[in-house]
Amino acid sequence: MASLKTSGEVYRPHSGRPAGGIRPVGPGAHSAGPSARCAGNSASGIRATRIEKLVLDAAQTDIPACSRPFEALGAGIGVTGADVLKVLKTYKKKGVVRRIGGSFETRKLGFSSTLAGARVKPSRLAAVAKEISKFPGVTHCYERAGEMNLWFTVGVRGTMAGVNRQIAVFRRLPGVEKCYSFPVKTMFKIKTFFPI
Amino acid sequence: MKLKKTEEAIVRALQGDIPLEPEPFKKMAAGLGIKEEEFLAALKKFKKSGVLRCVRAIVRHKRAGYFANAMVAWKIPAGRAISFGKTAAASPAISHCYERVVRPGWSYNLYTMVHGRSRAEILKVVSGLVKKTGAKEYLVLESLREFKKTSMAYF
Repeated sequence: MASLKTSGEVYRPHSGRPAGGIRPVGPGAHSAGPSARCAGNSASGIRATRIEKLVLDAAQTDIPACSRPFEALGAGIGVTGADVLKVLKTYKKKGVVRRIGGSFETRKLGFSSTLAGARVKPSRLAAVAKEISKFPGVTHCYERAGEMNLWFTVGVRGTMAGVNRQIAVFRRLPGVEKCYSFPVKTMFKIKTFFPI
Repeated sequence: MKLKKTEEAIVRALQGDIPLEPEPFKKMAAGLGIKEEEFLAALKKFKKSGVLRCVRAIVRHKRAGYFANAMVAWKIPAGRAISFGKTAAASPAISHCYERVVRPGWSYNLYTMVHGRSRAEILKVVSGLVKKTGAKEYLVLESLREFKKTSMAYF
């Protein structure tokens, strides 16, 4: 994964910095000039300007609900609305930004969801994963190392009964040896933030 | 929360991409045949009620330099689940932390998603959590292949 290329730019995971988890990078952490490339100062290690980092970090947190949201976002970090838009467009095009939109609380919209873990015969794994991924309510589907080799999320409108029915359908796919649903009992955190 | 038809349409619009222009909500409102004020009022109402966590940019973490991720499943004694959850949630390298139901033959009850720039970085986060919480049994379930990753389409 060390040589991802997008739009001709090579991302270099920075290796000279001591490890220690994702660290939030506040405005104070940026000391280079506005146009300087400061990979060495970056939490993510990707090459981006100081302004790009500020915009991408702020936009991952909250785009305000107002008439001119990009201008408002920029005002908080000392960047013009036009520059905010420029950075977001560039990084969307590069594929670093997947989507700019709403993050909803599934349950409060009247949906139920779960995480499911399955053990699938290795020879059938890809086929089963593809079949499961066809279901629109499956948003994540990963092969993982271990006894349970396929993990996916399932969400449906309505109660857990609908989720369970869907899991039962997946459980009957040829090659599926086990398939368990692990619904949430307590939510402690959901916050994806990747400081650039 | 029971949504009105217009509100469902607003959710539908927001579950995709907002237009990258100075007044994105005005354009989205126009697309639904409503006024910008009505759209913004609904947005604020959604946020206040917790239906909408936020409007934001979602990054592809691997393209953003975070090359490694693992789901770690933990066996934590019931009485310590809450304190473990809170400790794990405080780590900036952990994006998701849940207590989930257990099943026969699978008694892992806490799940954390850990992100880092390398496998070593992830393992360091995990060992840090082990040290802080005294957790003894856990599985680091690294992702080997991504088959699907998308955002939920609600309506």
